[in-house]
Amino acid sequence: MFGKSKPKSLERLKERYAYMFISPWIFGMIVFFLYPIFHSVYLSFSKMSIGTEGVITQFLGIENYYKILVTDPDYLDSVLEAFKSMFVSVPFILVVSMVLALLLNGSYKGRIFYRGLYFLPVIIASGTVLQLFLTAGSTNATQAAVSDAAGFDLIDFDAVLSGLNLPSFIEDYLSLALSEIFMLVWQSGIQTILIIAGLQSIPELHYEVARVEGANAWETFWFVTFPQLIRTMVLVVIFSIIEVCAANTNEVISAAYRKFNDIEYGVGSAMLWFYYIFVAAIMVIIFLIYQKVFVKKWGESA
Amino acid sequence: MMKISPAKLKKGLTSVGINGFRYLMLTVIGYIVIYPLIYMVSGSIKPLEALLDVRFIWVPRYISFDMFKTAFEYLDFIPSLTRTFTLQIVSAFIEVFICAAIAYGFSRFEFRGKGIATAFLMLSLMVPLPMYSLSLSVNFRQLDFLGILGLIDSLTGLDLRLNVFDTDLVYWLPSIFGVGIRSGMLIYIYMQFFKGLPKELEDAAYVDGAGPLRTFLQIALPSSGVVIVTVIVLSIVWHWNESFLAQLCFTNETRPLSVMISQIEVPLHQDGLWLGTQPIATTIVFAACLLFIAIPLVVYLILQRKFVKSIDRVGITG
Repeated sequence: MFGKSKPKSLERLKERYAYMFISPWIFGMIVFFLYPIFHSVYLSFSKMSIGTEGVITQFLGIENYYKILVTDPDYLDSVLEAFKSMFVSVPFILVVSMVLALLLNGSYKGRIFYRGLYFLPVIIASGTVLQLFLTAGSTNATQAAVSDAAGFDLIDFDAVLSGLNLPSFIEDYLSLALSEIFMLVWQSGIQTILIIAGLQSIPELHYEVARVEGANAWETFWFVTFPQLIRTMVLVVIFSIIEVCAANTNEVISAAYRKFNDIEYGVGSAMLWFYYIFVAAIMVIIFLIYQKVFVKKWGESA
Repeated sequence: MMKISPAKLKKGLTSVGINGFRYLMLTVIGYIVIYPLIYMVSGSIKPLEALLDVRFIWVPRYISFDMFKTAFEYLDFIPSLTRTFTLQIVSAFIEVFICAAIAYGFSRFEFRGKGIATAFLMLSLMVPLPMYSLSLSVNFRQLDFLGILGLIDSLTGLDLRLNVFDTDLVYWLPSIFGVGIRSGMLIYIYMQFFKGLPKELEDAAYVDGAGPLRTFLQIALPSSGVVIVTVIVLSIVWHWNESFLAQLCFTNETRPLSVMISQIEVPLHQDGLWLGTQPIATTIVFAACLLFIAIPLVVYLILQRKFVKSIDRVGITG
């Protein structure tokens, strides 16, 4: 009835509408995101002082980086420590949130109760509180009380682990993860939500087909659920890396903020960006793996 | 071949097994989730001697609320809480609304440069706030756009650059432009949701002559009621806990609770209550932690049912 020109002009009109919605964000991105990032990188090569006559920045070259990498005895250790904790926690968080999402999804009695309980860490997802809990709980007397009460002393996990004859690096990994189990489970809240949302988005039809084809639960998971969750999983991994990278408990971040408090702004910025280069590299590698392996393997469905 | 056993019985047994496993796992991991909370509660209401007494770990024999009074003072609770509300909660609500509009623009319309814009959206997910909050705070001392106002200043001597340092605007301004605390994540969640909303109703509104803003406000936004609960909860929680930017931007004015709690060891140290292992501080610290999480916790308990249901609708599409 209306002919073909009508929808086309609607499209053109809509492009103008799009800019109406997006343009404030573009402005914000430049002023409150991109510019501060450039400024911060520049700052890592400079010396800045904030006085009564305003902000004075003086370019230094690589002096700040020389300071943190060569003169500062602790910085490289803190970077290594931060990456170690990232490599321990991200896979663990991924597995825990995956398991939790699968358990919490579906229909069963008490669903609202359990979900309410498991989303609690999202509410208290403050590294500060948990960190304080752990530092305050780490005095010798309370430490003993904590592990006693949690029932963790009933089982000697290290003994159980060494009894399993696992390769030593897996054993080390597990015992490290166990020692931080509260922290790690508490950090899995948002990721669990993201995976549940991902699970909900898989069409019911696909499960019906699997059922008709006679697939068992394991096969259904690997051939229906998993391929369609890959995108969500990549998001979860990236999100977890960022969480670890931006936590108050992160050694590099806290060292840098201590420098900021001592008004050594340039040195602090250098600490942050030297660390972030490696974090960014890890994220790029994850994207590449996702592109090369998974998208190729499962094609459009992934 | 086990064809004799009735399929129904097998199915029933499997479902009992799966459900039993589910409840077992949920309860065991649930214990880990809830444990620090219970420990903090029980640790904060009993006197010092009882904290070290393992026998009364769950239900203390003597209850004392003194520690809350002390923690209240260390946190400077009422002024800090007021700051948290005006600074962070207001900003959270601004962000929730603005991000919806931006996500709507992203998911509903095709426009030139969309690929680049999406790439920058992803970038904003990948560079966390602590990386650039110092520069942001320096920028807030002399608010400028690409140095243009600075140029005007040096040419004409007319300084138009605002100083918003030490004011609530340090959180509000980025939120107003959709680049506040983890706005990228919120925009992403909204986008996933809008993708699954049927377009027909909105198209009908356009044909009937409604403008895009009206279509967004009266059709798209009201239908996103479910996802908004999730977004509000996440935004409030992230704002409530953010302390990196606030600690750099508030030097003379009252600081929000998140900064007070993250730096609580400073005043405790001064009073000799934080000597690494001195236990009297732990009860104060536990009480302070509970004061800090109390309000989000109560809000969550009220909204819990809606929040849990809302999660199911977030990922309505892939």
